Amino acid sequence: MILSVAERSYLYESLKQSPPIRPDGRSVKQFRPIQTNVGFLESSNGSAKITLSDGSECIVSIKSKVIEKASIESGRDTLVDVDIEVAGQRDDSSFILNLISTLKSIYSNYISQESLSLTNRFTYKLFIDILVISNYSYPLTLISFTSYLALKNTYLPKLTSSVDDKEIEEQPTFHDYEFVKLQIQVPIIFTVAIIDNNYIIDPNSQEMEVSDNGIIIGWYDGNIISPIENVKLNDGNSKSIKPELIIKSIELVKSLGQSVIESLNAAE
Amino acid sequence: MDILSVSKGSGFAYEDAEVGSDEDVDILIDEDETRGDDVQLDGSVKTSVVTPGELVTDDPIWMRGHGTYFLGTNTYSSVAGTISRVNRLLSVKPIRGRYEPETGDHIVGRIAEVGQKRWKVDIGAKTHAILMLGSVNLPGGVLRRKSESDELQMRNFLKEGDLLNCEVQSLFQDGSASLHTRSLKYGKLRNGYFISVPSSLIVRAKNHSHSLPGGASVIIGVNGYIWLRKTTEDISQANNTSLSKNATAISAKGQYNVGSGSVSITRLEEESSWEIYSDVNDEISSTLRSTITRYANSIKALAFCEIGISVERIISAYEASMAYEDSGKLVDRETMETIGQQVINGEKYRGQ
Amino acid sequence: MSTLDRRRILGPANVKPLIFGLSSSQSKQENKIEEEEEEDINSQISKTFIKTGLITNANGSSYLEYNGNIISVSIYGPRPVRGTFTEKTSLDVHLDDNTETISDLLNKKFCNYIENNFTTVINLNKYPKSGISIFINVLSINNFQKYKYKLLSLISDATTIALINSGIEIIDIVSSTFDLNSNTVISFIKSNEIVGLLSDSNKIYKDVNDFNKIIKKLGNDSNIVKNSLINYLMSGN
Repeated sequence: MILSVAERSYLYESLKQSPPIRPDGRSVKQFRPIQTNVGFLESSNGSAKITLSDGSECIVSIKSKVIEKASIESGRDTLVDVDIEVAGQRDDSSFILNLISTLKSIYSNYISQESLSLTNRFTYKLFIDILVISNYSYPLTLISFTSYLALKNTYLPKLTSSVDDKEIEEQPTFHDYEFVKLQIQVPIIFTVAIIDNNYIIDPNSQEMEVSDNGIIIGWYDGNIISPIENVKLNDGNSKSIKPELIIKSIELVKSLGQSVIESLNAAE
Repeated sequence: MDILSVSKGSGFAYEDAEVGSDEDVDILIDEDETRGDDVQLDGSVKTSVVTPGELVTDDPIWMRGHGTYFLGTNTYSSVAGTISRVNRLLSVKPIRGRYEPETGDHIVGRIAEVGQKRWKVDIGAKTHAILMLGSVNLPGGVLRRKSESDELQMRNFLKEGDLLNCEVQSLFQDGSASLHTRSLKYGKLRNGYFISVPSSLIVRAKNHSHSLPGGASVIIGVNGYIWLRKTTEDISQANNTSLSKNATAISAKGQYNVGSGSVSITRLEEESSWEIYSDVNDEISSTLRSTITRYANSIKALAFCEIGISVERIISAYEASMAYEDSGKLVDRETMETIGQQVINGEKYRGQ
Repeated sequence: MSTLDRRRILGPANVKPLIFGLSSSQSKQENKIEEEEEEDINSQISKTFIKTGLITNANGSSYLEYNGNIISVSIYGPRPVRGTFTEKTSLDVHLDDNTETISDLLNKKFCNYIENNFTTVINLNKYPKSGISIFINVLSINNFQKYKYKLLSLISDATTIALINSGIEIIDIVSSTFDLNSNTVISFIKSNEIVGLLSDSNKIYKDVNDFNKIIKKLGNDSNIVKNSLINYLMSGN
């Protein structure tokens, strides 16, 4: 995004005010409104789409596969696999790889093994495929919200064979048409932009362009988790952050998390 | 206080909106018929709203204009839009689509490229418009010769990303525009905030630069680029006088002359200092910043409701938005719809 | 800054091929790192070896060795870039891992971290229409699984030294420190302002103050690191 010098300084000065005046009038802790669709992909176990007011759009599909637990223990396989495609970005660009590595580490840490476990020997593996059709701002929050909805609305085939297959060599068998809803807690990730002494949640593209720096913060079940990282929100305007602002941003995220989860749950 | 407002999507099936659209079509047909065109369309032209591939007419008498193509003697539409007829020229005006510049349009543009003796300007059209070094006021007065040093320091006047307020001077063969800023009401923009709406929503008017209540003023570019800014003294003067001056300029000669009716050349010379290319904003109070934000959100609400944008409607949407103390409420779809509805109702009551 | 004419394909006359003495079996050997030592920043510094300007073909370079980790950083630029006019320098970071322990994802993550740090610190406006390249060579790694972000903090410190060696204008010395317990690396400038932050563990912060303590502790450590970096630069090696 390209801005003129006068525009840039107008936006920066507005966001510097106390309280900051955001270009779309939102408050410090207000997100852009979202529109949701859930469970529209017939061939996947779970799916969700979120559209933002600026036209950004993200689709997430969840698919599953039965794998042996032994392959995870030996490190040959992982419980969760994440793939991201963002329109206009190369698959091997550092932008995409960073998103993948952040999401992989958060999902493999916080999606519990028990929730996916089938029998003593077998478990489900989840494939989270993310497609960002258009985006004008840093897409991580959008992606994590969409994945949250998709994971919360994932239905896996119901197991009909016995859970205990330690003694007998047996392949698990499934019910023909009954599904069980996946019961898991899903972490979400927030983006906070730092401007002077202010911090704002969910920056839009203009706010990103003038911001001093950005922080992504994970939230899970009422607590702050990793990743806690700073991210580049624009090309070459970044400045250093005061530690107090990081702590304040973390506090803000901690206080918002629950109400965001409630709003998202209401959309199911 | 809402933190995250979530609304459910309407699904992926197209909504059955036939009832509504039929009504619209009827109205349009009525209008066309009452216009009393001396040329009657062939019976096969049933609607005024057409979609790509739709047969417009099978009568070969028509000349095919923009937005149409022909196979044999049949003329088809190539865009979704309304049929327009000028004598025997039949064209389809797209409802959505890029801005098509016309001479005399007052527009807002953004510098995309600095080149040899010219700037390329993004005006939301199919191609970048061109602003020649000779078509701008340079510091030191209007009658100054352009020197080589001006060519070398073009980036000091206007650089990539800069917004400017200008007029379409002429069109090239390929439909791209040549711009000029040779008037004090045109030039580089500062002290404000930029928003962009579809150009088809802009209602063409005599004057596109207005003062708004609350110390803000607006330039509604015909191309859908809108600049909201603080009202400074020279802007309010220009806004007040330009209407009457424009009127005299047109009536005196019977035609409109580029750049006339704005400021006398002597004043231009006095005021064309380096200041007109300044990048520094004036002091803007936080109340005014909030007002500008509210105006911006009101305009976005109008655009969201697909309501044509004129200064009267901006003011009326702004007044309707005052019901919400916090202008952050205006990002919600429902709020935007309510405001759009109020603007329409207000006009109905006033009989417009 | 080296004023060599780099348009020539040939290297300087006295060029010798770089031979890094460690075979892969040796480099993968994991020395035991005492966890107590990880807490004691002063003893770490005393075990660190730094040398600058070893690579004469680069505009600036540094070599850093600490407890089995060996890193070499070379800086090329600012050099002109082709294409349209840009007001600011573009910075690109490449990491080459000779030990083949760093995965592609982590490699990009490291590069991204270094890039974020130094776009903030380098005075980019000073060098319009040019580019700066940072090449990081990791020659040996000690216990990568546990200490991967320790390696990142060392890379960051080595890059600072290399940038100073290259004479590129920076606003302050970046000093990075690592916390083992929370697996966090933070880079500081101006004694307590943060330019880089990366925390990736499965730790749950029930109390926000816990994280505050980590920042405070790393802030104190970073001042010690910064002082020793300054001492090294002043000693004129």
